[in-house]
Amino acid sequence: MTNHFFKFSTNSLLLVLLLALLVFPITTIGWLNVSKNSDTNLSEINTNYQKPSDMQVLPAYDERNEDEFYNYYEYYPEEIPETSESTYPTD
Amino acid sequence: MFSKVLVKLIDQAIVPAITLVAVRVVSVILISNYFGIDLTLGRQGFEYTNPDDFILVNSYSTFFMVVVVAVGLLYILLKSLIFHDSHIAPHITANLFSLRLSSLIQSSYDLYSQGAIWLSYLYLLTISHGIMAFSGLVFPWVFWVSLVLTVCSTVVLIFDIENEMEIKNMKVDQTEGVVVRFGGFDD
Repeated sequence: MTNHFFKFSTNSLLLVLLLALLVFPITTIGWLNVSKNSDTNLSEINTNYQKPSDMQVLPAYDERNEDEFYNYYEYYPEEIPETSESTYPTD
Repeated sequence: MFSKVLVKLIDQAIVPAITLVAVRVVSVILISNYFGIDLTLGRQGFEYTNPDDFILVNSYSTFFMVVVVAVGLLYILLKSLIFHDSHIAPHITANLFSLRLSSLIQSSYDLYSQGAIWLSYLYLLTISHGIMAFSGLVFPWVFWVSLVLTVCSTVVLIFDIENEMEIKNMKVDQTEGVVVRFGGFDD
């Protein structure tokens, strides 16, 4: 009876050791963290980011949509696209 | 007294465990250096100030872990398919002995215990990648790559085990029930 118990307990210990060996390398995944000083929370990061279909696209200057361009940047001059040649209308 | 199978499995699990931990640490440092990301070593491990950097390093680092496990498993499957002592070709045996690489020839017990351990690591990594990809902690492609590698490795290992069982059955059939009688027949 004692012999059986000893065998069972040693085998259980071996099984636990084996499971620990299997799981330990996987726990290294938790070794990476984001510092608490960070402004952004990890849960706020979306790796599957997709541009919403209804996102407003800023108009680019084109002779065909000249009116739309002038109307928009008249109110939002700080959003003028940066290009090598300024497209901002000059009088 | 001890279960021989458990002792064998523990023996086989030590090398991949150390390898995986080493790959994790080295890959984190190398990837951070490669992308020029600031890395600090705190109480809870490696810390990043920017979550985007964390996700980038975590994705590539865990990807390297999966690749290392897959390469180890490929080596075991190669030994199992070509250098298995049950069906190794005579000329390959002769070449291996002449090159002093006879240790590559292994029995089913050694090969399948190694295969079970490395495949277990691959399964555990795939499960953890699935959870992390679902939580947005790694890029989703890391999970899909590890899932494909896991499925392919499992299929190849199962084919090899089936092949081995057929070889064992053929050997049993060949050695079965041959009775030689000396002297005359009664009828």
